[in-house]
Amino acid sequence: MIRIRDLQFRYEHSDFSLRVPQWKVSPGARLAMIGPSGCGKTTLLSLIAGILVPASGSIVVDDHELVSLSDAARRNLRVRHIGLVFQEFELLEHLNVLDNILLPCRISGTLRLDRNMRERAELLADQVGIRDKLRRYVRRLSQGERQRVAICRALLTTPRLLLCDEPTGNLDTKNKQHVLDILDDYVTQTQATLVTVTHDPEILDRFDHVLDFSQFHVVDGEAL
Amino acid sequence: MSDIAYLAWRYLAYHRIKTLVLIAAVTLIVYLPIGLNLLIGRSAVELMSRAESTPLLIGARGSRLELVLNSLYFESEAAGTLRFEEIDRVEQTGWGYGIPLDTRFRTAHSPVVGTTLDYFEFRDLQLAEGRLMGMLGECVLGATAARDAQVRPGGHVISAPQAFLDIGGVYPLKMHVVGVLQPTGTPDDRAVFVDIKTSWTIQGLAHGHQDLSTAESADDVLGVDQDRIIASAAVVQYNEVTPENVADFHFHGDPGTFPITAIIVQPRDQRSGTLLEGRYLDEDQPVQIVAPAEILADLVQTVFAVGGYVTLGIMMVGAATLATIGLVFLLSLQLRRREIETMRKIGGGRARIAAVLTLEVAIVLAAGVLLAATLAILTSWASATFTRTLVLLS
Repeated sequence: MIRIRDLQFRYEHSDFSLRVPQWKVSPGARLAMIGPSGCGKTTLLSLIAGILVPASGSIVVDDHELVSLSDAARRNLRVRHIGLVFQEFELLEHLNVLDNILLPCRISGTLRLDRNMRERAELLADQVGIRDKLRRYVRRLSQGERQRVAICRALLTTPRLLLCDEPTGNLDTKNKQHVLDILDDYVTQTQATLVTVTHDPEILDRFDHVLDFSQFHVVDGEAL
Repeated sequence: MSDIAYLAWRYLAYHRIKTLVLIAAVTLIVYLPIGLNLLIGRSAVELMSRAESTPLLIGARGSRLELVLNSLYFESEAAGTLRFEEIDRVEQTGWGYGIPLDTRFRTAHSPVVGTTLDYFEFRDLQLAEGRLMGMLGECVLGATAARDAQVRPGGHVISAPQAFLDIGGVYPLKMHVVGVLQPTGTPDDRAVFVDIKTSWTIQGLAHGHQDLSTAESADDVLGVDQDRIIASAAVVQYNEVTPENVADFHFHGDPGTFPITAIIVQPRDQRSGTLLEGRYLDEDQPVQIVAPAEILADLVQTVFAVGGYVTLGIMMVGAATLATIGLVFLLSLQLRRREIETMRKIGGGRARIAAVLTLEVAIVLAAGVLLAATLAILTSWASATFTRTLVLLS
């Protein structure tokens, strides 16, 4: 569950500002956010993920008030309970597929990289069809395969909240459907909440709710 | 391996060429000044040890350094010659005794050192096999000289011709190897030692030919003038001294006037040495006396001074290279901003990400320093052999 109240955010050295008086996403919801570039969709995802901190207001994720948490606590929450998928995949080219999937364990310092975690990584790779490519460097993968690696990384800790920033933006039709199927399956199986930013009207029917963000950020948000 | 070390290692391994170049640069920066100073220091020790074991040298007036290098290391051309009788002049004072050296000749591989048996005792040279020379035309080889010429006692070496186009000149002398010395790690290892008379024979001051007073030689005799016999060119000249013809070898002239290149002088005591040095102060004399240790100390001091400047230059280049390496890492951070941001987004703390990046630099620096230390240890270990080979025996 996500609950936002009186949120205000402004980038340093920029005129851009985001204001969300009130907004709520129920547990298990599948929400797509649409809107023109630069309207603040990605910024809101970063705020929900605890990557950015608002100037004022409240963001509650799974009963955790992000604003009152320390950096480390926000990071810990993100590592354990929030999965992030990006349009540009954001994989590390000097790591192979398996190491990229396990990167949250290695870099966070709070997750233990044990046998269970390795088996979980291999299982996820198997589920998305890249099991045979675990030892390959990501530069040798196709775009669709790279996004599947990124999704495996996001799902490694079985997060309760999935935040996806244009996850199909760089994919062809076939890979687009494949990636959405993977996300659908995960949400269905785990009852996780899915919030996706997209510009693609063709995939909107995959979501329970669609929010036009351009209207949303100039007027008070509607509770979903 | 910790996760931080693993991530740092994977980055370096993936960019292995860049990593190797950086490590090589660090290795060179650290090693060059250390290695250079090790070599210079070791060279100085090698140079000085031989010089310090040679109290005084007498030689023709000229370059003092060349006299020392030629007499101690058999390097460089002899600056000139002095008369053999100069030894008598030294010994008549009662202040010391002299060992003659004649280093003007060579075989194909090695310098020929004409001297006396005293030299072997003076340098404490031990035989590995065979015996010391006892007859004209015999020679004893240093360990390296024997190896280079691939000879053992019973074999022979030939003196090198002095001038290829001197048809009427002295023919090379075939010398019989009677002994090989144990290796000493000094220039003696590559010398061919002969008796001083053999050295003069190489020069042609002594020679051997068939006896012209016998009936068999009558056809080669052109005429007899009082006590001189004038022979034709058909007279057989000996180019090898054998037990059969050794009696036919003879000197023309007074051996006291024959040339040598230097005299090693062992003064009876320090006072005698000082007195001897005083005898040769007059610059009008054709000979001079030098203390090799003093001459080489000057040389070593110069080498150290030059080495100091070179080290300073290397360190300046090193500082510039280190700055460049620093710049490479900073630029690399710029290029990796997105990667760093990704690590942060998926849960990496600033300190942990910084640790990964710092460890990458640390691994490069540590590997470079470790390699440089290894090279320095190897240099230290091999420097004795290396400097002997490079500085003394080259």
